[in-house]
Amino acid sequence: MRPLFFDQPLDLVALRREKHVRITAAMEQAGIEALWLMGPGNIRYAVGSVLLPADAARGVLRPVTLVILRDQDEPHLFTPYPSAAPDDLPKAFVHPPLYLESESGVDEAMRRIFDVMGGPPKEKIGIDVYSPALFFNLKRYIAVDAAGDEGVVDASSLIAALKICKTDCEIECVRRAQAINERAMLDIHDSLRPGLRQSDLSAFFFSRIYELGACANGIDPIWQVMSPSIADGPYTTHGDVAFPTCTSDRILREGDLLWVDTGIEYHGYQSDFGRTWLVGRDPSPRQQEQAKRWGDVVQAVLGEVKPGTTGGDLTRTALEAAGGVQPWIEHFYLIHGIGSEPAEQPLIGTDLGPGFDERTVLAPGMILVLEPSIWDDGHGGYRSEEVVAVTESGYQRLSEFHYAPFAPFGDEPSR
Amino acid sequence: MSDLGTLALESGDRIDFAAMRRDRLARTLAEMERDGLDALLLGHEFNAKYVSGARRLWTVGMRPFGPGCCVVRSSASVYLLSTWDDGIPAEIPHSNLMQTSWNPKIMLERLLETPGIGDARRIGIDAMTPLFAGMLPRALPKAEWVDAAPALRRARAIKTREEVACLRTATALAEGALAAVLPELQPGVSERALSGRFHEEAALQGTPIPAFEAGFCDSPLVATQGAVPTPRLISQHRNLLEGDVVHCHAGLMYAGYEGAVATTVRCTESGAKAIEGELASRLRDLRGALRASCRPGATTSDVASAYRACGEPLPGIPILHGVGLGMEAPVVGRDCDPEVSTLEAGNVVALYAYIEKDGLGGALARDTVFLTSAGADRLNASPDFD
Repeated sequence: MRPLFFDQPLDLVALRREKHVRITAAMEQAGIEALWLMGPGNIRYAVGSVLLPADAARGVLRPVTLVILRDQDEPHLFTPYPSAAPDDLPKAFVHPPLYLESESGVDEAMRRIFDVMGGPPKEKIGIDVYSPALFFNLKRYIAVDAAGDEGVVDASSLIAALKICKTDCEIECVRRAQAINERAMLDIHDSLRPGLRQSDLSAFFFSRIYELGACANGIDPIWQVMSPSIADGPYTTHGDVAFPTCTSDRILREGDLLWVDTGIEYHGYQSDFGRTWLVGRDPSPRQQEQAKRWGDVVQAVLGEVKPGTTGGDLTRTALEAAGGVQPWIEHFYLIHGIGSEPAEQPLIGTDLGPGFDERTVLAPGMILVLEPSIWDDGHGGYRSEEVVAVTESGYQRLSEFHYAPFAPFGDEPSR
Repeated sequence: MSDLGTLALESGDRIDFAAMRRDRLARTLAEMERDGLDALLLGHEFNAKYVSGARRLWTVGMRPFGPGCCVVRSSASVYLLSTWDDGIPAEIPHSNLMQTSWNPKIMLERLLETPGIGDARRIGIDAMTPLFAGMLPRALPKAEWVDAAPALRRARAIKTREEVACLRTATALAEGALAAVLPELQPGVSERALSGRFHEEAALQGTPIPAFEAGFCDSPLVATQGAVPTPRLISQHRNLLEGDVVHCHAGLMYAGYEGAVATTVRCTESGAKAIEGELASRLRDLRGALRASCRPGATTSDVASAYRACGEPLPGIPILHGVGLGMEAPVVGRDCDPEVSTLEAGNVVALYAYIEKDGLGGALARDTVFLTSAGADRLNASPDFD
């Protein structure tokens, strides 16, 4: 298998520069002199894929750190993986990694950061994540109270506001991530049979995504076998469905109802694949009817997706289409955004509350992952995900995968 | 333990995971007591796994900090952010599960309801964000906030019998996955495809969680003049050529424990072949010197001296790091922790040998060593590529 071919051009260099300008403009406006970023999602947004460590511990002990200065045209990348820095980032801006997990490591890191900054900051700085050693020692270096006060602002919220509406180039990145993810899942769906283990499906997924051109896997692939009743477990704190639970070497059996969820990264952008599959069997009329109800919710919500619609409008539409029963899982959402993180703003239908949903107003460039689910306790349920981007007048689809063996939109095999 | 395997045996478990969880929590509580810590708020998954044994959803890389796990010393209790009990050990009751939330205020409320947190005078954290730095001290104004890393580092550094068994099993699995891929290391295959194949083989063995991104990287023949010798570790979309010298660096997690291999081979029509000549002999000498330097009582500087003794410059990767639930402290080498630490019996560490020769390329190897009072026990086998 060869890497997936894409006919749309993609200028990742221009995209990186455009985002750098956007970030430094926001820093200017907020009076922030420098951003120190350690959060993977923020770094992916600011410089594209730099292949961050899959192991969280390596992310801590061998961190990739990005220092963005308001007055400089390029960010400073401190990385253990210089070969994975963007090709167009001048070598003078690629530095050896920092060590932030000890006091003397922080001493050395501050010396090196101040070196690129031309001295300690004179104005506010933005930080997204602290190591404990950095958190407790920061006040030795800069004249601020480290306990979250004026001198240090939350860099994550600054970046979150910038990335909520995507450019055409960013949308193309998500489309490609989605296409690679879906192409890999086609083969896996075809090979599904009783006797395979969940971990076997993950195995096939890994080899396919790397061949097809993914930059990284994003999540332990989920192939959850759904119990027909919530009472059959797992126990949940809220009494709703448990999802997603971890993959193991569980052996799949004929008739198992799988809720599938996978995601990959393509040059800093994420995909999200969600479908309901059946092992070795066709759906019962009841299961088909559940899929149809899911399709009705998706159709109704998509009918409202256009600039100006609020999150509240969408949750009300979904609720009505589902006959008054909340058609999404209690601890999740009806809709989440996707971009440099697999779930980011806009989040709609979460416990951030109805007021938050009302204040969320759709705008061109937002990417929405619709993930309603239908549950008939005692008879399982149906859940899939649709990825769309908001346009000037409505939406465009970024996912194309079929729903077989279900037909949530009637006879069409796929849309 | 010579009977390495992952299947359940009707005659008895190979690894007593319940004992492992009990021992790890006991070690944590003892170190909390030593540092006067009443509670821990842990955001890093490896720390949460150490104290709880929970198997929660794996996502790539470091997560944003949130109080995902609490340990209260007075009651020896562990509280976990988890909406369900799947993957949660039986000794953690349902009442100790905190429902996940998108709302930091709700998350904080649930945290404050956790018995023992409100009374804690001294609370250790393993990370922080500006958001929680603004909320936590206001919500718990009487608490003194301190760095939990030293206590956790001491607890985790000494491996229990079961932890060593996990690390040995993980290492055997990683070697097996690499052995399955090496025959395919032929001209025309892409570095990225080999990474995918390693992760595929690992998952086929029932271990789908990677220790890190597998790298199969061609070494440039011309050494980087004057710069720090540094192997590339991230595979590219590049097809290998006949004769390429390729660094293989790959690993997986078994029960959360890292098993990893690093070796250097030559790409040929019939698959990977051992490197020979000067690269091989210098690499062998350096590996031997590193292993000899790594013993209880030695400092991390002694291990760095092994490079000097062999006349090899320190490379741009760690030459030693702790191994357990992923990479652990100490991390030794250029641009690593400047603090020198002393190795002890009970530590498991990875030793990295890397050398370069202009015109021949670079050679990389890893040994994973368990330090005992009797010396050093190598967990990896792979004699073929020594």
